[in-house]
Amino acid sequence: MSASSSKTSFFSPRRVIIIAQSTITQLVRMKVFYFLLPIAVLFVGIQFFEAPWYSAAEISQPEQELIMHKNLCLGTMMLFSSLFAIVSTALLIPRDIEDRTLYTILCKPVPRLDYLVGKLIGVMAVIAIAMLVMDLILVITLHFRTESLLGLLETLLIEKKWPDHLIEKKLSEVASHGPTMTLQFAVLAYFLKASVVAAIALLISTFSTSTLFTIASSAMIWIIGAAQSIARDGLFDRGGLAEDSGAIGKVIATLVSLVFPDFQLFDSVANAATRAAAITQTDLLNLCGLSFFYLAIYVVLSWFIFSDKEF
Amino acid sequence: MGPIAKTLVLSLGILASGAARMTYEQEFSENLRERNLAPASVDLEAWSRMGQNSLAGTFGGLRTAMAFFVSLSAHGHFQDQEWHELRNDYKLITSLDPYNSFYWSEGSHHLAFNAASWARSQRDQPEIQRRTIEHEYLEAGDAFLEKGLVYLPDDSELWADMARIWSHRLKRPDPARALPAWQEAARLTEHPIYQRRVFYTMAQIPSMEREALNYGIQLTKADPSHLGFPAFQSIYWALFQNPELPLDMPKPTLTEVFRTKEKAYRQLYSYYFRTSDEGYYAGNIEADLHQLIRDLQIPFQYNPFLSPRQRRIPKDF
Repeated sequence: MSASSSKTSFFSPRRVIIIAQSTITQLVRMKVFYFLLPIAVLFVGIQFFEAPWYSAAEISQPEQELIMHKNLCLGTMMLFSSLFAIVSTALLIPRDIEDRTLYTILCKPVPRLDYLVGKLIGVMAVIAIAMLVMDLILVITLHFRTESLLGLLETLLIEKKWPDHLIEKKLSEVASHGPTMTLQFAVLAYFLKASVVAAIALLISTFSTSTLFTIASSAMIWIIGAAQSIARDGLFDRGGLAEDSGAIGKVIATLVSLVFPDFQLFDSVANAATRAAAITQTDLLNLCGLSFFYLAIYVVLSWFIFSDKEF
Repeated sequence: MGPIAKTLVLSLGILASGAARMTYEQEFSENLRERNLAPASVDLEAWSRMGQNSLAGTFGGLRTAMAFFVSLSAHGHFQDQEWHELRNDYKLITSLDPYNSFYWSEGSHHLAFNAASWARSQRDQPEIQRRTIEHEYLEAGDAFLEKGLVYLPDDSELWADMARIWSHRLKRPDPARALPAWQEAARLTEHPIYQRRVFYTMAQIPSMEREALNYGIQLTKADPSHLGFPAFQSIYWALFQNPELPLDMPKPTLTEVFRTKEKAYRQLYSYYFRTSDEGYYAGNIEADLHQLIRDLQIPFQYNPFLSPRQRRIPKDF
């Protein structure tokens, strides 16, 4: 025992990948990808849903249709990925205990950190695959919608006798709401958000005794996280609900800010990308860095709880 | 390690990591807000207006999608002419998605055009009350746009919407309020229609005749196609008749502006009525019309000084 333990490295990427692969197989066997079918139908259906847009001699806002299309599709992607992250992660450890798989893994020289990281990466990989498929459907449907709108708009603006340079400007403005690289930033932001949600669910599942508790608490953290910035704003005198709420309010706001992650940041970047606003690489790096920080903290804390847990 | 010690370490770990990231998160958040990428916090008034679905959506990070769904329900309030509810809906929508100019534009249009017209059409109410309510809705539409422009100061369409509220001749036109908004829309887009609107609006403001003419000259120099528009021709012609202009200032002839005397008569005939209806600068066009009536032997029915107003003068009069 002591000899094999001394040979076992503290952390092995190879072992992590093997556990991640088995997690992917486990989740695929749960038929999670079947959810993609109704989502695909929804995305294609949104294609035929027309948003009202106003057009007069000097203005035209057909980009509203594209914004609406992106909002609904990305909203669905965010909802699906976050809920999937919570439910699948909450199910994994209890399922491994139920199937006795956990015992066969942990009786081997597999550090528990490898097991937890492997599980998390497996969930993240499945989320990534699902989001890629949804992203592909979004890009295809949005491409056709953008092309059709651009054709319509060009005819309309020529009829209205807009000068050529303004027609070109308007068309490029509308095209910027199509399937661009900026749109992918929104998908990335939501993927990062789902990954952090999965890490939180993993942490809770290490000490929770019931799957239901894990799902409910993770969902609550997901919801509170979207409003965490309101509490934090008050602490930094930037308005928010805590600014004028007295000492007890400040204590509550401080606790909320310290305990819960700020999911508003992910939503803000994604929403800005949906509006085709100027998201920079620095913003993405900041978001990726923050996500990595969250993941690292939650994984380390999960490992701390899980390290000497007895089954 | 016992369970209490573990819980303590876990709590300390969460709090310490929270303290480590809090300042960074706040700075990142403020940076995004300064660049208009992140929305401001939803205010207390908006929280109280939210239904359960909106609240769940907002907390779940679906602010923009919720805004879209609330805008669909707002359409129902518009159809039922429930203006107070409609106004509240748009306040909520714009709290949820403040960077979408469409919602500011749509909300303002409902208030300043639809609700104001509804107030004007309430014939069973005393005139003074109708006018007061109509004016309140016009101001509400304007205020709504002003709030939107705080978030989107470079949105030309919002500026143009504001200008339209105070330029509509069937409402309560106020050229002095419309002018800065048209100017901003023209500056942001350089759209010829907005540029002409600036010119037309200047010509409606007493004491701005000189500035209007200078702007008109500047426009025609940059793009002579402006002179192809009937309203532009008439205003341009009238402004050159300002007696305060220097005597040595070169002035175009009637045919240089209108091409033919017949066209000049048709345009000036309409413009003559617009000077009284919409307050355009009148110049000396009455004398021009008298002269043209003599030169072209205009029939009695097309003489504005002898016959009732005609909708338009036919080309073959």
